[in-house]
Amino acid sequence: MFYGILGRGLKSGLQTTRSLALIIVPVYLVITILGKTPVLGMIGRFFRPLMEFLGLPGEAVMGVVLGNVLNLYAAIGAVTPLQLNRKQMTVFALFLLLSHSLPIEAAVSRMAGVKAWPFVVLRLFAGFFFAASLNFFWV
Amino acid sequence: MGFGSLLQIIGEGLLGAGRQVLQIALIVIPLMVVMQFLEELKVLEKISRRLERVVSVIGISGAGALPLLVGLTLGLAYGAGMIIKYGKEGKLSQREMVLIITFLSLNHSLFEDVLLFVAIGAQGTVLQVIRMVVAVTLTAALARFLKSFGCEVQGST
Repeated sequence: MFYGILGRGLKSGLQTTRSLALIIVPVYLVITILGKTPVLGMIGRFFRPLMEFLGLPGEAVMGVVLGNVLNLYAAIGAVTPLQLNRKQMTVFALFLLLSHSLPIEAAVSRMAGVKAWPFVVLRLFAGFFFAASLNFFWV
Repeated sequence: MGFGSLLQIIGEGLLGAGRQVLQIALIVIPLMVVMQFLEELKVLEKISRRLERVVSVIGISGAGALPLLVGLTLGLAYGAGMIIKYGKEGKLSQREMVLIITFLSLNHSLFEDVLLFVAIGAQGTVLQVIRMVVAVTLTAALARFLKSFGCEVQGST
């Protein structure tokens, strides 16, 4: 019994690792390459005013978008090449923890017989608001 | 950009990504083993019985404690699956289902999601405390709101 559970747990851990690797590796690679071209810098400059509320560089908007549209693994793949400090990473993480994988998770909510769009609005708003507050109050 | 330098950038990216995946795997694999034990040994069922009074804070009856706990630990999809089942069996009202989904959509997969970010340098305790406070506050507020709204509707008929 013990080894059975252990085996199934290891299997599910390896499966999770595999599925996250399949997303993190390509996203990380694309962001690293974009970082060597002017493209990422342009995106960053465009979103700098918005991301300033969060104390994050403009480029981190890629992580916010990918995390909300796709999932947390993609957000991690997009943000780790930027080398954020501890405070920035925590602010970014709070936003993404409150609001992520919106298409998939909205579908899950709908399955439970609940309208999906109010949750999408609530989560995006809560994510931005509380991440900005954490940035503001973190000394 | 020359071909050689492109290869170098790709190599650099692959190395960084590989390190990232490894760092996360070291957390995710043991975590999944623990989760498997929680699930198969029915630990959550036992804990949820003690939490029935706690969940009343966010306007949910005792029957909602288990789906809530399952969503918090194992993930939103598991919690939602249980909510659907309980809804069909008539154990949860529509109002309670909305409240549980509200709470869980903001706050689920406690360990997995937070640890992913801890692995890349975030401060985990701050994250989880804030996330929990936000979810409890917003859900409790919605519960109060629905309650007063529900009363109004009943009173007008």
